[in-house]
Amino acid sequence: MNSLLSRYCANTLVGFSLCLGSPFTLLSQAPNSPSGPLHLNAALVLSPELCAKKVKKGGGAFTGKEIFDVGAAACRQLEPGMKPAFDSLTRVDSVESAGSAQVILLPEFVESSATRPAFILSSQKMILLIQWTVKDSGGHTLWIQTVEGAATGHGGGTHNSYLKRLVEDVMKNSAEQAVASMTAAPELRALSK
Amino acid sequence: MLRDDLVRRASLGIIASMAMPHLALATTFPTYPQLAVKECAVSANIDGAAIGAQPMEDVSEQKKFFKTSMASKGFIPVYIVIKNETTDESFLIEKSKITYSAATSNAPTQPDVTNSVPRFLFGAFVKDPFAVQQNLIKQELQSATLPPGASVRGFLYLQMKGNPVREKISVKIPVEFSKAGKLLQLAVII
Repeated sequence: MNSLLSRYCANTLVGFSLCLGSPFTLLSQAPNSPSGPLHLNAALVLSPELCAKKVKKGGGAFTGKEIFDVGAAACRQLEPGMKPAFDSLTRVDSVESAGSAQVILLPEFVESSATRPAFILSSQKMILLIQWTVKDSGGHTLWIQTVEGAATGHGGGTHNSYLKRLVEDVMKNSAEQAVASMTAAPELRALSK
Repeated sequence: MLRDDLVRRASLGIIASMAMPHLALATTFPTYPQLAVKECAVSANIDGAAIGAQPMEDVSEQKKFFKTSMASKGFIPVYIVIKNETTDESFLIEKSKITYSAATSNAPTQPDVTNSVPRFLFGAFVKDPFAVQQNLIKQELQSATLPPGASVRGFLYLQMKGNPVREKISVKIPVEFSKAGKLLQLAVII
């Protein structure tokens, strides 16, 4: 469907402008935290298992299969995306490697879902739920929250490159939402004094 | 020149015809009212952790808010609201620790949208099943940390037994207070 759209975009003036203009729209923007970053040293745990996570959707008799490489996107986007939340953030691949971090961030995929475009120019909405658990160096859970990231795709390029961009945008939005939630959390704010 | 104009007009027409059905047919879901704890059919309060539960028994209501009948697939959506009514302590709700069972049973299971809801959606004649599934996920109760005065809301999708009258269901939600690590269990029977 997307290769058809690509051809259509290239062949018509209006299609060209429609297809090039902002192919992805983030559904919501996280507000900037009025109180700034948390004054904490954090370790972000991105395990090999999390980075390898793929989600398959559809594939039934009437629905084509789509594979979302959510793990790879998370391991590209979450570290830079979460840095604004803390004075210092280090990426590690396990809790044991967290070293002297004051808080340990443990993201976990909960659920994801993508609608299917009914027509060539329909948009596709994707949501991704990540549960964030924040623990102290002793392993005690300080804070837990499920954050929803969302993005809308309008096609363009090959189907695989389109899906990749959609997942990357969802992950960026998810990180923005997580930063807003964490920096606003009184439980974490109390620690950062 | 004339031919170019005709091609341009045809292109615009094709684009419009492809774009308009999307605008007309996008599935939308009404927002369920944000009930307070005391407005729910069942409510309880233990040490400042308040819970309200409102089962959505009416199939027409299920079709209105979820665009599908869940009762005919053996599920009931239950709206849950949990409020921190303490004045000085946060507490944590972890979704993976929520369990439910028939009120007369001792074999609890976990409500799990991943393993239950999508399976039956695609076997049924549901219009726009991907949008319906996404809405179910968005409406589900999720893990949260509640500072004093804060609430979390959402649905649990529970399997029900019994015909024509469903058996009572016991829902148990552990709550962990953040400072002292005190644990308690909110339980409601619906």
